[in-house]
Amino acid sequence: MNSPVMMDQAQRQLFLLFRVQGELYGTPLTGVREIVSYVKPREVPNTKKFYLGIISLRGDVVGVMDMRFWFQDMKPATASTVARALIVFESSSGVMAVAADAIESICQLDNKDIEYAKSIPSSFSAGGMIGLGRFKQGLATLLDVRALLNHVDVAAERKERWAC
Amino acid sequence: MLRGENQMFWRALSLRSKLMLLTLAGLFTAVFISFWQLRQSYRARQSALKSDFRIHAASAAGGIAANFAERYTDVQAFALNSVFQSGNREQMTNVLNSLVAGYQVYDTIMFVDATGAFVASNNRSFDGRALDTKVMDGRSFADTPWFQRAFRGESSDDKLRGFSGSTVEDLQVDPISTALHGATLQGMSFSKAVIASDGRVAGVVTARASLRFVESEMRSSFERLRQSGLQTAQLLLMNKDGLLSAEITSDLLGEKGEVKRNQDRILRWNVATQQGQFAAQEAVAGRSGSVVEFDRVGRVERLWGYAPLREQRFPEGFNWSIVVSVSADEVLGDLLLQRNISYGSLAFVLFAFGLLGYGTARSISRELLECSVRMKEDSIRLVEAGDELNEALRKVADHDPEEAGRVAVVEEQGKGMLDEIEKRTAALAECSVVLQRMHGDLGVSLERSGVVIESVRSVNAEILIMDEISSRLDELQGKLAAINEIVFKAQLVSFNASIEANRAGQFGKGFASIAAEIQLLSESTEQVAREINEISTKTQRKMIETTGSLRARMGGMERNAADWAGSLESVRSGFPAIVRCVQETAESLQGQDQVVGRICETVERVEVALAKASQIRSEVNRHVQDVREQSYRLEDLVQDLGHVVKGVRTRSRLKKNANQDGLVASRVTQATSERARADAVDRLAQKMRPRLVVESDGHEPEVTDFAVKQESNRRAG
Repeated sequence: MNSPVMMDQAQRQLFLLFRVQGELYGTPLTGVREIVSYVKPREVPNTKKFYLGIISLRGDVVGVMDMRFWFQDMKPATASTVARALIVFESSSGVMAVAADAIESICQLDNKDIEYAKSIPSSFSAGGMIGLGRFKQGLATLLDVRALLNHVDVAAERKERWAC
Repeated sequence: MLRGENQMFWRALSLRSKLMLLTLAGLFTAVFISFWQLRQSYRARQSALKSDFRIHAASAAGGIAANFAERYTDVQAFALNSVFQSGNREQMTNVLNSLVAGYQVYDTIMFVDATGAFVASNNRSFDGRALDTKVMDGRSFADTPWFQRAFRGESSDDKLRGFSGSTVEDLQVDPISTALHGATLQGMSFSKAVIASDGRVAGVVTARASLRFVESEMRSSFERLRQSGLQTAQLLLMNKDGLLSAEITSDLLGEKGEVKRNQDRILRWNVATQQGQFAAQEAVAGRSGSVVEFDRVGRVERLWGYAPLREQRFPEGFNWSIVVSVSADEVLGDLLLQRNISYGSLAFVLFAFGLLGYGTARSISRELLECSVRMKEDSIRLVEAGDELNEALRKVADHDPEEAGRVAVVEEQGKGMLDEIEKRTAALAECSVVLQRMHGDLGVSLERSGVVIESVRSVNAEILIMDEISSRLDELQGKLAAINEIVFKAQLVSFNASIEANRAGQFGKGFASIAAEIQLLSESTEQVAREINEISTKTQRKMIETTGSLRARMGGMERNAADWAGSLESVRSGFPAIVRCVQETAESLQGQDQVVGRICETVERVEVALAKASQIRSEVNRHVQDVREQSYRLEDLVQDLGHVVKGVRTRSRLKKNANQDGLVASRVTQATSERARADAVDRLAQKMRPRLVVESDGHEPEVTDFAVKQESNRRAG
């Protein structure tokens, strides 16, 4: 309800399903600008670990995030899989991309198939967490990635920087 | 075979002998080659010399013939001189003197009138000496052949060669010149009738040519030879009978070039009849040529060239001939020296060979001598062994009954062994046959194992092909990855298309359907690619598993087959040795069979020897018995002899003591002599005893009996 991408309850929403570390995630298609093949980003100093670096996408500088480290508070920060695609979003802090291991599909989902996040405990703030969606591929975590990217801070903390 | 023997001979030689043989062979070859070369050069030189000498002889003959032709025509010129028709004797003498002095070859030129009476002759010789013509005065030559022939006009013609008009007498001791010059002179006469202007014969001119005209030609030939370095040249001119007419050697030439004549030889020495004068005989027979004369030991002595003068312009009928010779030492001396050196070298080499052969023969004879000595020693040992065998036989004969029994047992055992050996030999032969058959079977098995190995290898080859297919499948996987990449890209395109369509909202619905189609297409493609991938992966996995297991199994099979073949081969290779071993065992058993047969024969011989020994023993016993009887008789004889001696001694003592001691003393003497006789007989018996022991061949009990008997006899006696 409090999600910025919240649509009409009666409407069906389009979600982009992708996998990271074998887990199925979904994000509303409206926030997605495009999907490109994975390009190794150029690292940027004094940034956090999940900020992989920047790439040049048709002249635009795009920052690349790694969800495997971004969600480290929730899941173990391991990188056992290889990212194959970058999902590009236009956030308020600029054009950002998120690395995904695989793009599953674009699916429409009825509201009845969505278990909203109010019943799911989460540390995500600002409505980043939508809920769980039931797809034919299985249950997927529905995240409003663009909303999450609006509030992300990629600059490294001082002690962390000195520790490096 | 011969080659093998030669090799053995060569190996048996010591190094020094080999080196010596090689050196001698090399020397012999070198000498032989030099001999051959020398012979060739010798022959070449000889043929050249022969040709030269033939030319020399022909040249000399040509000169003489030409000179002769001049002499033939000279007299005709003389006869034409008008002085002979003038009748002036003094003028004639002067003319004749001038002719003799001018020509230098005439001893005498004489004119006789038509009746044969002497008219005039030269009264000076060719060298100006005065001659006494008075010896000729009043002499008539009417009955001489030259006068008669010339007067009648009978000339010695050979018109074929251009001789006509002069009457010629052959070389002879000229009586006219000899009479006029007061010394024996040989020469030819050329006569010609002087025809007067009215055509009648006014007289006859006769020109007596000396040997000088031939000698001058021969001398010039000789000088030519001498100039060519031949100092020992010799020229001999012979008449038709082969008698020496003129000769030139360096000894016969004076300092001024005059020729000394050996009057003992001229017209007396028949050159053609001399032994070995082949050249002269050939020349007299009218043949020309050249020849090499050998002496009696085959050495070259002289070289001869010969030619008859009739080959030149010389009238038929005279048949003079000339020979030219030279010592071989002079023309072939260097070659003869080389030949002698070669003979010496050859003799040395042969001597060395002989020395080597002598040394070898000596060493062989020494070895033979040592061998014979050893054989002699061996024969002595053999005789000793024979004696020992005889001794042993004798001992066997002494214990013959027991030994015969043992020998019989041994013989029985030997026969049993023989049978056993024969059985085992037969069994071994059968075993050998079986082994050979097994050997053949093993060979067949070995071949089959080879076939198995071959098939395993072919399967291996197929496994390799499967490996290749697997690698191709790998390539296919690569291609599938590329397809997946394309599918992924297509999916991205479809996703982006869907995003764009979503963004376009209502306007992008058519585009969204295209995006959905693209996505479907990409999904189906991905599905197909995945299936293909699965299939190929499964196939590849299966294939890898199969080939791995096959390879492992084939490797094991190959190894097993190879091991099998190796073990079969080793067993097979061992079989001939086993068969050979069995055969050798069979042969050795046969050999043992023979040996046992020989032992049996020996045992039989020993039995025979035992029988003979027992015969000999019985004979020896018989002889001992005979000897014993003889000894008894001898003892009796000794006793008799003792009696006789006793009687004689008693009688003599009785006779002696009768006069001295009387009857008592005689009794005492008799008793003493009784004892002495007994002692003597005892001693004789003691002496006889060892001899009898020896004769009885160690039969002590017999001798003991004899001694007891002898003792009893003595006591009885």
